[in-house]
Amino acid sequence: MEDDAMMIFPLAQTIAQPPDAAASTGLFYLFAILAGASALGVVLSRNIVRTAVFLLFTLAGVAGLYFLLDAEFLAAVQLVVYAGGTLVLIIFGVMLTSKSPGIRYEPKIVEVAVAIGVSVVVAAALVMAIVRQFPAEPASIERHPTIAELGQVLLGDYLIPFELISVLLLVVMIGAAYLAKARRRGGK
Amino acid sequence: MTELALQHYLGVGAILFVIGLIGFMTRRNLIVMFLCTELMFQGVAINLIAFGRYHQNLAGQAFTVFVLVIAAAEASLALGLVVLLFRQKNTLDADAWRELRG
Amino acid sequence: MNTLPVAIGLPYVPDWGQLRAFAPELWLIAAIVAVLLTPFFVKKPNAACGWVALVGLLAALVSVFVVGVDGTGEHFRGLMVADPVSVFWKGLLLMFVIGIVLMWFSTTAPTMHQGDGPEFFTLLLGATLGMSLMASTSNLLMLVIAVELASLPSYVLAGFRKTHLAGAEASLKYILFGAATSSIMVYGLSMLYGLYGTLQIDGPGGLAQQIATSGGSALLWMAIFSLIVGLGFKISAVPFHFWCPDVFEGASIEVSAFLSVASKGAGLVLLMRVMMSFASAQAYESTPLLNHLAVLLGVLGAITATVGNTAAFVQRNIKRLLAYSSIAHAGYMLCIVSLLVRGPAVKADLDLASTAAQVVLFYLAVYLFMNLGAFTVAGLIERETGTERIADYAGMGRRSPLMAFCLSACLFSLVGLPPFAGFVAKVNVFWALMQNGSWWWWLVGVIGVNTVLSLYYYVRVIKVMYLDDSSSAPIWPHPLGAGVAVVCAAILVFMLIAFGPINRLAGHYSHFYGVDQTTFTAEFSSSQPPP
Repeated sequence: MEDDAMMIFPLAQTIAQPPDAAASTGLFYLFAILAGASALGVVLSRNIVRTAVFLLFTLAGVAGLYFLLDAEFLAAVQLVVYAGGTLVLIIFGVMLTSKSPGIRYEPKIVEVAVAIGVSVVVAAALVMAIVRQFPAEPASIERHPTIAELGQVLLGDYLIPFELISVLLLVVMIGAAYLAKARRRGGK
Repeated sequence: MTELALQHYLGVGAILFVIGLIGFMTRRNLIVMFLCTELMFQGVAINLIAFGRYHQNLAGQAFTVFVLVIAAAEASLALGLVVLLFRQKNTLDADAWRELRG
Repeated sequence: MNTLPVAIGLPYVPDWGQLRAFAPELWLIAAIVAVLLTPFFVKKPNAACGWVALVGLLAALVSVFVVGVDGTGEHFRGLMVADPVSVFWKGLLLMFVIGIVLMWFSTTAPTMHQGDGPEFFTLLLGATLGMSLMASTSNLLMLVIAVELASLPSYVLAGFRKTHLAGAEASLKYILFGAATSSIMVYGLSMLYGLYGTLQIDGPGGLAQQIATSGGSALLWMAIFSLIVGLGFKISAVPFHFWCPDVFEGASIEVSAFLSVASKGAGLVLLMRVMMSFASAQAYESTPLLNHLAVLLGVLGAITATVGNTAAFVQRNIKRLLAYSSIAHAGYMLCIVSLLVRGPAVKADLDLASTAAQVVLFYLAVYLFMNLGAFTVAGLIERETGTERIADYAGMGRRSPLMAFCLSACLFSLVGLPPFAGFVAKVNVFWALMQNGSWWWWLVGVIGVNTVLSLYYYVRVIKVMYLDDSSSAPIWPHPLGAGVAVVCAAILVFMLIAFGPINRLAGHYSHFYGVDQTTFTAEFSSSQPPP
């Protein structure tokens, strides 16, 4: 079976070779800082087009982390479908709706303070709980699951959710088309 | 530099999630609020994949595929709605939408 | 727990034995496709789509009865279960949605823009599919998909009246907070997966068992909190309830009615399934985890009921009033879900999961007809007079005696007064809480006070209808809608008279698969109703 997968997806096997530790650590920090800094950009930027572009960089950074976690298929999906598809959709939305892209709104200082306070507490609690719960030494990885195996799981163990999500997409597509559909003014 | 452990990835996931949460609570632009929920979903996805590798099974990656689909579906609905609302009021400021009260 | 591929290279094709228990869902999917194809054959598709949806729902309902409880329980490699609770809920849900479609014919159908029917019924059936799946999930992945399949179409349904400004605004609030709470929920579920390495909720090696052996931890609590955030949003438990009145006011009336019962009921059944799995894996002993969880749910229920009832006091709009009333009723049912731990008064052999499920299922059955009746009358009056203000109901006792009587019956039942089934449903709640003793007495007190509070605002509507005078003309409601309202009122009386058998039926169907495995198999092999 392994050989079959290798023949069908030779590229997957070569990518799955783990890079040496120092290089992957360096890449991790690169991608993590890219994702985190752009996420801050999403939240802080006052220009909505820039916000969308910052999100693009976050998505790219996260895709890099997927590669480091041996999830090549998801990394590719993230780059092609998410960054390439969904984000383009979002930018379309931005362009359709904002004649003046710089819609400004300054939230009240109290709101910001409360939100940051709550979030800092949540973040601190999360980090402490994670550090206490899970071992700090790297897990020993005996083998990497291949893309072929992921496909088998999606159409095997998770076949029913896979089929149901198609129903979900159909219904959502109809709904989104209905919402965005223009209508002659009359019912107002 | 230390070697990478599960915690590093979970940390990035938590940071993205919390940044998204802050943004959702403080920003008042509809599109930005949706982008912030996308950030939160990215934090979730990193968590799932990191845990999947930690536990040596593919459930995490499979879950992530579905989470990405759901996030995309939510985004498409949200944008349909944003276009609809913008047509009616020509503004995307969430506080301008206060027809309903108490 | 390694869930790596069972047999690589062999795709999984579920056989008919596996699919059979999910025939209702298959009918719903078929109905969605049929509704979408209808406009190709019919020129004015709105009413035709309504009929197609109705036929699909009826077929699904019949298949619930025909298939019944499939004794095997677990399906599709443990992703879903078909157990008595889920079958009972599916029966209720499908009956209710049939009522909603009939209500649509008599209230909104004439004013709906021609050509919007296919979209409307696609979304309605899609949400129904999600809500019926919510009752059957035993896997975190299925849980997320079922919840989203129920939520996403609901967001659009809430804003379906596009020209209606308040509707669009309600839909916006709904989708914004829905997206945020669902991402919080999925984050918590990812933590559960990380802690225990499996997505399976019950069964050997599942989450419930592993939690029982490993005990609580900070991350587990965060995960449980976020699960409660996500499901609390669907149930409209109190910190997450503010979408509810706005959406109910902004949406058209059959959508409000649909969300008031179906969304909350599905959320409650799912919450109950997860919580009871945790509790039964720990044998309902008062471990710290279960104790805290029970108190958390109880307090959540008490606050929800109180906030719902007090906010209902000042409402002038019938839909907002019913929204707050539905929040209050969700609170009562949440109180029942808090029966996770054996109180001192409970015998060791009493199966708390079944008791709680029996009370909640009976309550949901009664609540369904109360709300359907009340919303139908409100919709009919809105169609004839164009008003949702309670003050405009003045003189309704003279203008339309039948409608006034049906609405009064439903409202009395919502308070919990005899001779209507709301009375026994509430007595049932009191009884189950008192059985457990200890701090559950506080919940009994809170619900008692709330019932007295709620008397005021429900009776105010009845007072306006019968005592306030108005010179407005009499109204003649649509016969179909009037029929629905009368049937609801009649069923409410009938369910009080036939309380014994119906309660036994709810008891018979009150078993979760995997939670009380021994009673489950004993029950459905001997088919003897419990005492």
